[in-house]
Amino acid sequence: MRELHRRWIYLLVALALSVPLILRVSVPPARMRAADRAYDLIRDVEIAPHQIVLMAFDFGPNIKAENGSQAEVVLEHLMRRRIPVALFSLYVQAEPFLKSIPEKVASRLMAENPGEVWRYGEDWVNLGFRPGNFLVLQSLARSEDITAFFGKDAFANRLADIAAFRNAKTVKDIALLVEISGLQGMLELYLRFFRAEGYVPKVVHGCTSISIPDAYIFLDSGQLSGLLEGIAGAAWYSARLRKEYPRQEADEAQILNTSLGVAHLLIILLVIVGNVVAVRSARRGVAQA
Amino acid sequence: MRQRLIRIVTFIGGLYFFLRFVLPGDINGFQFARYNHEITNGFRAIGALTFGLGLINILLVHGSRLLFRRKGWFTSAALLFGLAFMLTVTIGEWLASARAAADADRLVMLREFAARIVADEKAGDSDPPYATRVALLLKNATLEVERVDQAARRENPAGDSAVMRGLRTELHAKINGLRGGLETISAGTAGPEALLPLAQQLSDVAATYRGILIEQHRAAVVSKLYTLLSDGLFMALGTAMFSLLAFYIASAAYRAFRIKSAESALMMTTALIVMLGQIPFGLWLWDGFPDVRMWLLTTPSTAARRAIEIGAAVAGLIMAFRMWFSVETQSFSRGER
Amino acid sequence: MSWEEATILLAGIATLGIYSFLIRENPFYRFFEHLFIGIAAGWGIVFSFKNFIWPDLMVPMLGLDIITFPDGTTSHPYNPWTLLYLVPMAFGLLFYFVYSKRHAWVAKLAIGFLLGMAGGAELEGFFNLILPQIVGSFKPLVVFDEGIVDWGASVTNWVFILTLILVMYYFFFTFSRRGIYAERIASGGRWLMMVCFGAYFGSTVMARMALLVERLQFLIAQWWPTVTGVLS
Repeated sequence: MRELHRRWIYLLVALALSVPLILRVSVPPARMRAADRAYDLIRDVEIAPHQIVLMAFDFGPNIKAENGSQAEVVLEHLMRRRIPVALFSLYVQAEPFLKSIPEKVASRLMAENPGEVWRYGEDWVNLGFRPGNFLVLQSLARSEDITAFFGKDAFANRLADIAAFRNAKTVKDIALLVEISGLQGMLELYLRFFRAEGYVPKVVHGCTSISIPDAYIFLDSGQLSGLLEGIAGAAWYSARLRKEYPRQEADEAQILNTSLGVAHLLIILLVIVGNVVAVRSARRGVAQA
Repeated sequence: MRQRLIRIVTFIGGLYFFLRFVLPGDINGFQFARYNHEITNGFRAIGALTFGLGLINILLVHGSRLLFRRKGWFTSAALLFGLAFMLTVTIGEWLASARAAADADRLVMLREFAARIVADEKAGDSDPPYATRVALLLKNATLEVERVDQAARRENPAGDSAVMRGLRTELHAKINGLRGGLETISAGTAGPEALLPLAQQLSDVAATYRGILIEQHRAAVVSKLYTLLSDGLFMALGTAMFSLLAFYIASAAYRAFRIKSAESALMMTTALIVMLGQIPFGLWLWDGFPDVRMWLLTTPSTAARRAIEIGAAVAGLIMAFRMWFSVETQSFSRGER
Repeated sequence: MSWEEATILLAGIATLGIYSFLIRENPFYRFFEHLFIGIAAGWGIVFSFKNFIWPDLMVPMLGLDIITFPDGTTSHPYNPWTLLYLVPMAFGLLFYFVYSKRHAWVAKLAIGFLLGMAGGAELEGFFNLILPQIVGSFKPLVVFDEGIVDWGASVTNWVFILTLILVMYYFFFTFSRRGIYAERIASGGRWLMMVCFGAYFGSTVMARMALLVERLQFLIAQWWPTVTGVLS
């Protein structure tokens, strides 16, 4: 009987998530104020010709669902604003995302805006995975020539020859850090070591839902300037992006978020039913005794 | 003796980063962290050298299982196949992209050569003579422009992308400009100031040509194989593996989350509000859920989490110092005492 | 079949292979599980070498970053000091003594060195991370908005500070808590922690479901149309 229950529950979960995806139902997401702060910051950030935005993709396939969506919406926003972005990672399993996500976003933007081109080297540059954990961050923060520090991009091209990066000199030319990760302690690593004398970067963080309470303490203290809370944060960010840049295609983040909403209702239902069944069983047990 | 040596080495390991933090940046003209990049690379080198440990362990465990056909040899074969496939494809992709980068670097080399000629001439330190060097530059630049023009014409059999078409048009215009520039310069009479625009033109052509090479590389078989490996296997398997947890949390919601006390009721109520506050359907029940969720997260939850964080950080600092001074050696030296 | 279609088909088969575990443990699942481990293990090896050991250590040591111009001159002279990288590299090789029964202790020199490094760097990390946390906790207990007391914000700050103190007190084990009030204060801390844990649980559900929905979306929106497209 317990085995049967288990498989029925699995089926219910699969159905709850699949039906909105098949029907492509999209319900407006709940407002995420922390994501609003991130959006406003990126909307208003002013970039001088020598400055870049640094995006750290510190996530693997295991948390791609949330962090990947966040990376896409923020990168889309930056690319729409034609702000040059340098992508890198301290986590080796993020290496494929550094290549695939910007390509995906650029293709989508070009399909949406015929005649406009988003190009590697001008709009974004992939610095690849950099092994060394905090050593990389503290060394980068103290570097007097970050172009020389990184040396080459992930495709072995000299950064000094890449338009998006060649004018950046010190870490102070990094106007904004967008750190996207669900790994335990990864954000803290940046907050601890990615700073130099007279420079503490503005940080926007994308976290997985499970680490939302962890991230909020840094939002409250001002160590974070904006926060995308899991996929709900990505969906809200995407909704704001659609409002500012209306486009025809369906918003995948919102469809995913709707699907997740149904799954949440199922979980709430399961908790309630489970407790009711437990109380009844306990009463029956007492009555039989 | 061994213990003492390990303790000394452990202490030395932490000394640089400690001193760099506590000492001022400039001590009477002496900059303590002047070679920070190089020293840090040294530390990174020590850590990076561990990469072989995993490889050796895998080969020892799974290689021997496959070799001697022990139980589970088939899955070990799958693991070793995955490893070998991954190593082959990623190394192949690396070499191909490095080749493409080196191709564009030939133009960059000429740009730097031009800049060097100008700098040496201005410093009165031109050896070989200035005219000889300019002649060499012009000859090589002419040859390189023709080579690049030919190489960039190679079309993708599947058709060019919009980016590629744009790049080709751009390169064509830039190459024509460069050709014109080369024709106007004569090795015998051109002054250093005439070489600077040429250097800029070489740089411009290199940038566009690099873009074309990147696009060509993206369409190459080795790049497609890399995508097959990363998207088709690595990401798909990794995501699917961890997504199994969704089924288990649903099962646990039904079987394990029992409200047996006031404390668990408080926890579950908070969880319920947080869940309803972050999904679209919560708004249908009450539009205040997102705000209440926000208050719960920013006020009691943040305060409680911060209290835990501060406590853990203080404990972490003490533990770190105990490790650094080898006071905390019990787990490290078990069996040695 | 194009490369893109092959990639999507393979990803779908791999996903279903993993999900077959939900029915029961089976060889199909085990095959894909081990395939993933093999691929994931290789990732670190290649990229450590490709993105650090080769470009940052080997290239300068071998002088491969020196450009030779057409006239035979070079961009910069060889820097023999880069050979000093051989010292940490040789030191890093001490890790491999773990495979020697007799000399396994030598590996502890390298392990100890890295542990010491983490310990020495911790002080900087602690101050950068925790000081803003402490400063951020000093919230005004009475908040004024244009000269008028903002009761909502004031109560919020009271709750915040009270929670912070009570939870810290709960974890204060330096001396024993005696007396009914001490226990009640600690118990209050535990209650407030439950709110935090509730927030964690509510967020965890979202995190776990998000993992699955991404895969389902892939199967529905990409894999199935590709399968039907290839078959038709």
